[in-house]
Amino acid sequence: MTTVSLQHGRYNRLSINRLGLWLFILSESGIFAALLFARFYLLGFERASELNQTIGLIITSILLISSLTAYRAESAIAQGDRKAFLRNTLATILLGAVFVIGVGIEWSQAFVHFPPNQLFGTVFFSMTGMHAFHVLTGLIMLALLYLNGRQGAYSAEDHWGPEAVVKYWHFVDVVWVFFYPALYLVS
Amino acid sequence: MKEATDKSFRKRLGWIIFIALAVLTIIEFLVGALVHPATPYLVLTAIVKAGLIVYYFMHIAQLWRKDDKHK
Repeated sequence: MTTVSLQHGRYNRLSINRLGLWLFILSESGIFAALLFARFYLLGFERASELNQTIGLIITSILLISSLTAYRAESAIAQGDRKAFLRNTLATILLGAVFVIGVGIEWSQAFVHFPPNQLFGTVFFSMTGMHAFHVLTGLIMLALLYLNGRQGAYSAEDHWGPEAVVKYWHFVDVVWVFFYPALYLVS
Repeated sequence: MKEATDKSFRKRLGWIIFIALAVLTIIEFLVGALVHPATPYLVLTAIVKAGLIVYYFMHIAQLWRKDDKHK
């Protein structure tokens, strides 16, 4: 009788987890790529002059800073520094929440200038809505990480959870790296 | 000692990549405001920014590393 092992040939469990996560990220990229191509297909290089450039730049900067705090949270737990992990995870959650509030402010103005039934409105609300939904799911996962971390979960030897959530958070940032210029800056 | 050096290296690397991303974002913003047509330059900066995040923050190279052991 053979025993089932977590070791599959030269691949260990961590390698398989990482591959699975990257495949998930790749499949998610397809959704965002479709939205990005739809934006250029429908609107060409047009952009709405009513878009608030200040809010766009501020929320982009906030998401960028949250990527640094997320990176630091992951590095901290990989080194076994729980305090720094919790501090940076909390900072990432707060910055993510500010990003969502910023998108909300932008939406309230956008509804006035280009409602969703207009072409630019459809594109703008689809792109920012899908992205904000992913930010929200990332925030939920970060909150779970924080709560688990406070109860003593994760260590230098056991931190696949933080690694996976932080990678997802960076992915959300990468999506915005393409969405921000596509919506606010192209000409 | 090695652990402390590794920790300080990671911290410094995080800041370096963050500063690079911030500078590229400012360049992107200025290009969007001042250069016409801006799109080719914006595509280039977006690809560089995404590359930095995927390589340094998301550690894509770990996919080819088989000796990592944490759970």
